[in-house]
Amino acid sequence: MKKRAHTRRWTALKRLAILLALILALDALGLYHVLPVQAMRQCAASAALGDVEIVKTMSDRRLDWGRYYLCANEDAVALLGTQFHPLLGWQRQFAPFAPLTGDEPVKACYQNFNRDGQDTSVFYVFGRIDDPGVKSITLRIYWYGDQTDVDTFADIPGSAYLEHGGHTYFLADMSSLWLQPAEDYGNTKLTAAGQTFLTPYLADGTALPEYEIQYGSWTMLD
Amino acid sequence: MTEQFERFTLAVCRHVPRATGDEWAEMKAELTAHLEDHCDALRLRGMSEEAAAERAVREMGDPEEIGNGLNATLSPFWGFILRLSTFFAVLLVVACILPGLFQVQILWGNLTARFATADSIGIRTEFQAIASTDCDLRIETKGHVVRVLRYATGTQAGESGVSFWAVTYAKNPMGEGNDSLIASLTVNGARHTRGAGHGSAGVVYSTYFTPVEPGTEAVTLVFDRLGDHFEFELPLDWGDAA
Repeated sequence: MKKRAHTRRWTALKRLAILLALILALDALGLYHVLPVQAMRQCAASAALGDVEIVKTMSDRRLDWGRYYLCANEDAVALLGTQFHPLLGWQRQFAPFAPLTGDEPVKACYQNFNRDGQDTSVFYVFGRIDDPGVKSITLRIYWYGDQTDVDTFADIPGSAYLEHGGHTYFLADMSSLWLQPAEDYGNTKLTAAGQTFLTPYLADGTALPEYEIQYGSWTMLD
Repeated sequence: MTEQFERFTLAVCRHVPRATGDEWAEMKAELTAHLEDHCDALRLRGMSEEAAAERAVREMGDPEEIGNGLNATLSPFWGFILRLSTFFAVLLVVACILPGLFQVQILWGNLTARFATADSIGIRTEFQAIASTDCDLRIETKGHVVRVLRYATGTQAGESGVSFWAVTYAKNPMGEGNDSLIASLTVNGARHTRGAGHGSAGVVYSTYFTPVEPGTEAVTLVFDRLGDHFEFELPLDWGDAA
């Protein structure tokens, strides 16, 4: 009788070990990711970013079963998206990134999510502050209208800034800044979103020159 | 005899609800072996086969009691772990059939790209070559490889310039290629103005054209991306067009 109890435990442990070995093998082959972080690593590899460190992990209930990682290394800052599929496990989704080369005091990138058939957008802006004097950032989106063009402004909220490895990063939900094309805005109907601009501010309120965010990505949700 | 044993073992197993299929089979085999041994011993003592079987079954005791006893030895926790891990292992294998086929395609494309030549790229463009040079310039960046296999002087849409044939793939043979790496190549500081490409998820073959003044003796091909910098000085042959 004791032998049987042992056998059952032994068989269960053996099956568990087989399952774990299978998970590791499938992950190594890039076939099935049980954890979102595995899909995130594949996402970074496909985007040719090299090894990245996770700065912040987030999810957003507006974005279905997604898990998103603000990641960085010495060359780039990226927002790596992963999504859960019931049959295929965690899948890589997108990898917008901003290179950390260049003289800009703030390296920034945006990620816009649109859901087909719905009038909502989820708009994230992320990046790294390379000038230690910069204390806040204002964003501006330039919109084309049928009568006049329109600008929308918003500050990146203080809660969006975070310290990691001696650098200041930010990841901000700026959806309030995002209008809808075909929306009436004052006396003009918006036709399309134009560029996104960034103005860094020093602690004493001095504005540094505004410049366009060159890097970004759009993702259409199902 | 076998029928009697079968009936007895089934009666026992009916009272072992915690057992898995394999465990039932194992229990049945053990009980049957035990009954057969006992039956053989009784026959050696001179009993008939029928009587020995009947007595062996009787002496085993109450099947319900035996079954309950066996059931109590089976841990529900380990049973749960056993069923759960088996379920997930089967689910994983089934779920990976289609992605597995896709991965085989990636692997095949990746391995092919490692031995590709400019002739095997097979992209047709309107580029009219004057003189072409086969080469194998290799750029390794962040787990990916860009191989420039040929460059040629010529004209495209009435403009003189240099066309390049390249292939990009991941260093990991199971990894997906990245078609944006070509955009990081510049010729004398200028990005290409026209390009064409094809490939599967694992590999991207492409040609790209950059305008260059006819007669230019050499161009500098530069790959600059995320801290990786490669430079190649390429002499140009313009034939009679120079």
